Amino acid sequence: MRRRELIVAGAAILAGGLTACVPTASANGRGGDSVLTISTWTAKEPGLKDWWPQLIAGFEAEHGGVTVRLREIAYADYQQQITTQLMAGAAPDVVHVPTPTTTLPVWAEAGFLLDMDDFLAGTDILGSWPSTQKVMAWGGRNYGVLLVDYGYVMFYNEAVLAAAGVSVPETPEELLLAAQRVAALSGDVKPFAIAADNSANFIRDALVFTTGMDAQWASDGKWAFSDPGVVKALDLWRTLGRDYAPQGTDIAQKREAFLTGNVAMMIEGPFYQATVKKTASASLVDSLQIAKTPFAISPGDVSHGFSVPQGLDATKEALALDFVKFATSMPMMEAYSQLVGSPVTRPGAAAALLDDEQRAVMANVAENMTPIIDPSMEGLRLHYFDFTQIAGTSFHKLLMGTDDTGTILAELQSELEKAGITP
Amino acid sequence: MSITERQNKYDVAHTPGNSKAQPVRRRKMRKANSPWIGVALMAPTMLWVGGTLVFAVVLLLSLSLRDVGLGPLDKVLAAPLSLVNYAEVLTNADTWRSFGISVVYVAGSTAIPFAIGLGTALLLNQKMPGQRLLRTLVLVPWAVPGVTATIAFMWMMAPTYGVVNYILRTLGIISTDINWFADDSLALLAVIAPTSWKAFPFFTLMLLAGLQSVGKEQYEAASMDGAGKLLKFRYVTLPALSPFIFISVIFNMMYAFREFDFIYASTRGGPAGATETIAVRIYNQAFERFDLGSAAALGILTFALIGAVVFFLVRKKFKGSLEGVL
Repeated sequence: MRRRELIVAGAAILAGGLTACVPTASANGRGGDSVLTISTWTAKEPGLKDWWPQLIAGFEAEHGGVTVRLREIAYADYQQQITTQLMAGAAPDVVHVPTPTTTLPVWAEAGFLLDMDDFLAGTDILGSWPSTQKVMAWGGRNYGVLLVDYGYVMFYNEAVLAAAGVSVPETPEELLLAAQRVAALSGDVKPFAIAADNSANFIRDALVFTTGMDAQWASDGKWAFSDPGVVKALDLWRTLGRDYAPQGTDIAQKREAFLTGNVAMMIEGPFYQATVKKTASASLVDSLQIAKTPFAISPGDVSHGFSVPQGLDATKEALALDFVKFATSMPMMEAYSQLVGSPVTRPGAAAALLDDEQRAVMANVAENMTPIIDPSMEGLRLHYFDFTQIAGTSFHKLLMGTDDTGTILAELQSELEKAGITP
Repeated sequence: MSITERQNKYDVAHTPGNSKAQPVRRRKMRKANSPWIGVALMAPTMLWVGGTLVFAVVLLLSLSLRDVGLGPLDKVLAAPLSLVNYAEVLTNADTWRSFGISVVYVAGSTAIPFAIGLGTALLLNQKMPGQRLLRTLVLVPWAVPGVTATIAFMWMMAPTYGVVNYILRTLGIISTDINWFADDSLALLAVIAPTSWKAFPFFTLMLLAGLQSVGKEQYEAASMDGAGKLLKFRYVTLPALSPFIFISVIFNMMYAFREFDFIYASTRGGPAGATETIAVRIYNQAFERFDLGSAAALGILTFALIGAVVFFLVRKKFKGSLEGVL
């Protein structure tokens, strides 16, 4: 082969290789063809791994010629990757939004998401969804539909509580008493567990107590961490976390401690019950139960929802909105609740949970829950990371320091004001 | 054709004065040695790697020069050029705090594994039973993914249930559990531990290669001059290892400076920013605070800083041998 032929051949190989690397319109679903892409981190999660195929098959059956492609992204990378894709205009046609309390404001504020008010006006969502749907709104406009919200539940080890001579606590005072009684037992079982790492779960576990004990840590657009009710609630959390819980546990270690019988009580999301029932040892599984949290108010949280990015062509946008409508329809939400074994946002869709005593607890607390972060706290939601950094420092002081709770919380309030973060 | 026959044929072809065979062979050799073939074969890879690298750096530089928040890329890149992000980054006290944390982290994550790696290399350089197996085993930490190692260390260093505190309790060294990752005075040490564990095989490998290049005659000469083990190490081993130490320390420092996995997975830069190195700060700025402009500016400055430091050190170390190159 001559030199010239070699160079031509090399160039042809290069051109071919580069062409193969460039996605075509038909491959990525842009340009008005019939491929709809959806991103999620839940494709292989228990229950959801069965729900997604059912949802996709149902949608494809209703929309002849449409193919739905599910893009799975690991949860740890999800927010980062979707943000990058949204920025580059290469996001999926339907975006699964995790923890919308903090994620949705950033994406909506950046102009990445489609205003869905007109679409929602033609559905029953705004009329029938609970007030938690507000978490999918930003600046008074709706940028998505909430799929799942839940109330936290109390996980307890029945055998340990029985050995300690206490019943399942129903008030904060009973919770402290139960912790004291379990601590008095011989053996290594710790009474309670909290997440005490540097993540948002740490903050969440503390705020469960303030919401549950009806303590308002923000009011009239100002922080109120010095409020006596807040001090009382966080003092209880401090006492339990410092004196009755294993130290420095992240969320995985906290759950593991309960699962293995090393901890008698913890407050967690209800979805963890499926893991408990599936993976706890045979000698423990019957003892590991759930109940309503020992508070007058059921603290809760929002889990995830669906949004549609801006900039899709009209056909694709209509298809994406159709998909959201189909996914949040009663049959699909009922299927979700049954397959995942958790409550959903659509009212009445989790009725099947009431047949089971334990699942009924989940359904009841979800229906009556108050979110630990009110969706109207827009300043906090937009600067949540900085809030968690400042609050985390103070909460670590509560667990490891000696200053009284009121002093530490007054400092926290002052630090937040100094940083210019408003609720 | 046997190897001997082939060799004979080659020798005949290359015998000076053999006018019949030589031109044919030369022509073939010239073709085989043509630089164009190498360029053609390397071109796809070079274009792809070079293109993606240059594109990323140019995009990063462009982002760092736009004073806009998060938004669609076309709108961000349409914003006027500005040095605001650089001014903001350089005047922010938190940047310098992160820089200081990075320096301590890099120093710790280099000095500790270097000491362990040197000790292991000296040990593995001795003849002993199971030497090959030990040499393989010592490389295992290097092969473990960063996040896996971090999770293992987080479990081992868990205050109540972790094996580290258990050992310290059992030995009577501590009476109350140490909260390694939540105590802001200990968290940096806690993240240096897994980094060092993962990095020491690299030093072992590099220094072992260096040790094996030292001739026995040098030690014999030193012995004849009356040198003991310590003097031999000081005047024979260390000078021979010097280039290996230099290269491995430089590589490890560059690796440690951009290290992210260990720190983010264990502390996310906390508590109270105690482990927020420059690499973690860049991530937090970009994907937690969504301030891509200042994250990009910080990335460019870090890139320039590492490049300048490495250039300076390499030039100083290899001044003689790299004359004309640098």
